[in-house]
Amino acid sequence: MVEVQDLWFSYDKKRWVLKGIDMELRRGEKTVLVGSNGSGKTTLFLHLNGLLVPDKGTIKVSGNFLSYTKKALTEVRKRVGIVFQNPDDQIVAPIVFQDVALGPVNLGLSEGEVKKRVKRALNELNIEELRDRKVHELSEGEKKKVAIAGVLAMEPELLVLDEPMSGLDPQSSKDLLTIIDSLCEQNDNMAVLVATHDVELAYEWADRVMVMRDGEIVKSGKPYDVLGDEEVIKSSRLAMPRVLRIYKGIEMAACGNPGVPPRNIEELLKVMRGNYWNARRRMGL
Amino acid sequence: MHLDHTFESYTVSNKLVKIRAGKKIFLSIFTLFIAVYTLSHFILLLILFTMSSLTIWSGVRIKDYLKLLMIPLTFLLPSISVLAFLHGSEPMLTFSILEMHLSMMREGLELCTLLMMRSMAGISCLFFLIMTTPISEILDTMRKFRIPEIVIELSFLVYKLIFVLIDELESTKIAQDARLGYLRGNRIRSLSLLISSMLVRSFEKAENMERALEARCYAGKMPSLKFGRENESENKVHVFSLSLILMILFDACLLVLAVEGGD
Repeated sequence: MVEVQDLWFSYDKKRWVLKGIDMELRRGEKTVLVGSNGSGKTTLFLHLNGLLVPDKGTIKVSGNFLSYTKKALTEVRKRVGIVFQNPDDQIVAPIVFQDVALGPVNLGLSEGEVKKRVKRALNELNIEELRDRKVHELSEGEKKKVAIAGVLAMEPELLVLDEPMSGLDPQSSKDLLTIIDSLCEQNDNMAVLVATHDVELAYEWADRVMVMRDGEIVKSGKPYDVLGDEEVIKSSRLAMPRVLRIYKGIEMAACGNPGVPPRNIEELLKVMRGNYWNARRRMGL
Repeated sequence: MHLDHTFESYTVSNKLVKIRAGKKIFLSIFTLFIAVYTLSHFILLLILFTMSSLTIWSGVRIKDYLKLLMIPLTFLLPSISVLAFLHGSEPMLTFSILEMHLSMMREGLELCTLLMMRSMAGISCLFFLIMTTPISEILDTMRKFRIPEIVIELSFLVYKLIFVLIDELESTKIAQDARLGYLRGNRIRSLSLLISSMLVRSFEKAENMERALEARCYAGKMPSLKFGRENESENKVHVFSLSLILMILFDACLLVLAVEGGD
């Protein structure tokens, strides 16, 4: 879907913010980009739909190299939707449906089509009841959902979310994850890319994890392989997911029988219970 | 006080929001012209009274209305009162400050009163418009009248950025207050810091907003409120025309008064 090759970028032409990024995003895949603050995640995102122009390197969207003419950019921005970290920056209209309609209206779609898309986007996020509400009365979580709906109404093929969980309470962030999951299920040719420094989330939820450090992607692959790599995690100023750390601890103690590594607390508890009964059996109790 | 928020919520949730923007624009602009044309104090007061009571009736709290009225007044009062000293030839009161003689003239004072009333009447017309009509509707109507797209887009962005600026101002002010920035002695320094950081932060904010708009293919079009309406009932259409008749009647009366009376 999107291919980035050897991408270099600097804001002030003195210090490189992105140093040769290579990545590929595939349809139907949930990729999580983890990196500490200032590692260049947002800068990388701004390149994906042509908001920033790279100093070196290429970006391919749906097999075409990104060109920076106005017409080509509109096409790319239709395909790649970015949800920014701060919904207040993104939401410009005073009423929810007005803001969700902004993208489609500017694409020049017919009135009927705009209405249809707004309806669908609100429906996909389960916020139909917010439709006629005023934006400034919404809670942070609701604003975030409205911002996502505004991007979804453009029917992107790649949905990019920058720190979607920041500022959300545990329940709202869980709801949001469920919503993104169901979005992926409904549109199987959509790719999702999420930036976060929440390793727990990345470990539990992602199909693929990429770790970013100082403008470079240092490791990418299955969540267990990437986030279980102590060296990469430490040097990137991140922490290993707790579930994984506990599992690694008992894996050593239980000598062997590793099985499938658990991805969340429930699975970890299952492993621990299994170990307990195994140990009792071995001791002949 | 969240001036921006009270303000934006009035525009979308008042009793007159369902009336087409074109009619409200017609009413306020036409009345504004009458206010500019007429010399009669009575008509000016009538306009001021009708327009502001209409605005307040539509759902604006009196307190907020007065607060907003204070903004133009702070500019008006000093600039208009100067006229009383400059215009005319018949002195009423004479002050002498440091060998300088300032005398207030009768004609000047009359001019002052007229100007003051005229501006207040005009302001009440415009307040009526901006407090009962969402900006997107005003822009839509401007588009209908073939006003160039660039002007419309600019006015939208300026409108939006004013709120961005107010938001920034508020949060920075709170941050300074929290650290006792406005105790006596710190005031001027804090104020200068406030202004300089506002400039930087509003640029940042504007840039973020621009990026977010660009990411959604913004091409200068703001969705109108009509996307929210499923279907308009016949009954409402009837009320609309009644309101139009009332508006025309009101303006016609004013016009006749202004032409006939003309003092």
